[in-house]
Amino acid sequence: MIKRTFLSWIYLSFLYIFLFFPALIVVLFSFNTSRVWSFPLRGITWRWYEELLARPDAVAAAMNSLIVATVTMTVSVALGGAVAFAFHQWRFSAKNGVESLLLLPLLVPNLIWAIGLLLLVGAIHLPTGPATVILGHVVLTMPYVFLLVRSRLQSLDPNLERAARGLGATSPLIFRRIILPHVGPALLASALISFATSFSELVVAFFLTGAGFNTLPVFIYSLIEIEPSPIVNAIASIIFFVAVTCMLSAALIGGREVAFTHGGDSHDK
Amino acid sequence: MTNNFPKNEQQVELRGVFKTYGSESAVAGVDLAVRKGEFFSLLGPSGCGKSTILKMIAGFEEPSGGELIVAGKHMIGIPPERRNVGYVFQNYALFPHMTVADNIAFGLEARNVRKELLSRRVKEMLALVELEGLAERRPAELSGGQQQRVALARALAIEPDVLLLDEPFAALDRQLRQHLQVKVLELQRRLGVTTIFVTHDQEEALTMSNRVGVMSLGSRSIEQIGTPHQIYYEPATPAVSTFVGQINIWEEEVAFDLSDGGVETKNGFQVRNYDTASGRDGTIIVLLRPERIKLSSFADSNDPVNKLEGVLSDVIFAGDTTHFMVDTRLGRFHVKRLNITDGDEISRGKNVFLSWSENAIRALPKVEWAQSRAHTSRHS
Repeated sequence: MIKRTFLSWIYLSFLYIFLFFPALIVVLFSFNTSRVWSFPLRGITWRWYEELLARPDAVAAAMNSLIVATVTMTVSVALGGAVAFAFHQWRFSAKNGVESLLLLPLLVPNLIWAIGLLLLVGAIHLPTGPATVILGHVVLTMPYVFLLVRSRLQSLDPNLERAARGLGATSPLIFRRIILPHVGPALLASALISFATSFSELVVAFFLTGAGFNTLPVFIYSLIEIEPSPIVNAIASIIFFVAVTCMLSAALIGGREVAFTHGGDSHDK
Repeated sequence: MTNNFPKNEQQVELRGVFKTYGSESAVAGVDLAVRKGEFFSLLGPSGCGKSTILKMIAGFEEPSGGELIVAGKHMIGIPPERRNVGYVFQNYALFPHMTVADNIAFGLEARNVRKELLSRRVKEMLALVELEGLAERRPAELSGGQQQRVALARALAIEPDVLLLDEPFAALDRQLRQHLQVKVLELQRRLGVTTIFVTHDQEEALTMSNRVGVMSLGSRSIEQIGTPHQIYYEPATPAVSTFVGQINIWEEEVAFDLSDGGVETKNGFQVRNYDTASGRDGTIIVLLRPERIKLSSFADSNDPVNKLEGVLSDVIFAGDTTHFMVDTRLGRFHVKRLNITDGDEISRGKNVFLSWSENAIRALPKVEWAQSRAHTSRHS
């Protein structure tokens, strides 16, 4: 037994090293005084972060990312939560159809979605910009909200609603006092996941940002193409930090349900 | 237990209530009248439909047909939130994110009761169930027994027309259960609240109730309604006789009427509570509780009637009682004896003599028994 625990611990460590080592290297080099990617490090510096903050285009991209992520999070939680609640409250024949449609973005590669959305946006003559990026991100993140909130609702003891009703409570009171407190952690966790996903997403944003509007990941991408600089490491570290913080908080708040629904994380960082 | 509740003051009444799920019958034709202030039990094995009846009274399930009247008002079509019914769930269903006080206050909150009145009422209820010190605890921080008392206080806080208890003791261990049974009963008597109690535990039903309705899996309906005493000693149908306690059942042929009432059977047994005056004769079904039989290792010459010889085939020690299985010419008899003395050790294979008083037997005409048996199996 002890041996088995030890082995699985080693296995897990290797897994995490494999997953996070590249990202940690990026973080490490973002503090390196040298421009060159090579060991040993020459020294520790905040220089690249300072340079980054001095660039208006970088700051603008960061602000854009913040705004897009915040709006995406809000819309996604509202819509996904509403659909999950509808699934809990009513029986309707289209349930399976609606569910597969809603979860489709989890299965289709982001690139395909991005191209599809771009074609759609073009077809209906919608100018690309913040709104289209948000639209794309809402479609990507709503499944997580839906899955999390719905699985949380499924764990709600039906007797609680019965008890409340038997005590004279009408639906609005039951929603406010019984259902909302129960799904609260799931709403918060899915909000954080939506924010992190939107903040770090590249592919859909790249296709749907349009001219003159950049999110942070798109900004890095163009930076790498045009003028490779250690600033890239600094931006990547910031994105990594935001995403990891959000995801860890989500896991802490949402617990097992987050781990299950978000286990097959496949979106690009 | 006496039953002195006014017959004309019915608090809960079911007339021909039934419930089907598709072609499946959950409850078949229940007629029931529970009197004001009464503690009424629905007793039956799991799946017999007793909980469904409770859910229909509360409004969590709608009957497929029949009439339901609570406190003089017809309840069909009225949603649960507009019925004034207190319900204690088997798992208590306490609101996990609310404190004990908030749980108890919830029904009053839903009724928009004023703040001062609400907090006073919550204090009263906490005192009633002896949980004053735990008002700010969460349900998860309470023991099972405490949770049950909170559920009870929450249901009673709204001053319900009827209190419905859905197996509230099932999750508790035996000692705590017996303690809480007494407490619940005291509370129910003090408040005089009409109570319907669902249980599969016959001992619980017999000890707590003014009256008991026994349900069976076969009929999905009430087989017999009566006082605990009636249910135990005068079971009306086979399902009741076998579900409540253990019983010896066999057939006898009536030989002749006794001059001072009752009959004597061809096997030479005297049965007092049976007469052929109303044209009943022929084959009778005889019911005899195991504890009413006297067992001895020698023939008692003083009592010539109602005795039977057999061979002891098994002895089962059960703490306060000992069970004896005796093979006789009429089949296997079950005898139960209270272990009040050290008792003579009778070993297996020995010849023993059974005897009982002529009042110990309950007899029914076989025709009636067969009819009720047919009734029992009609829906299965």
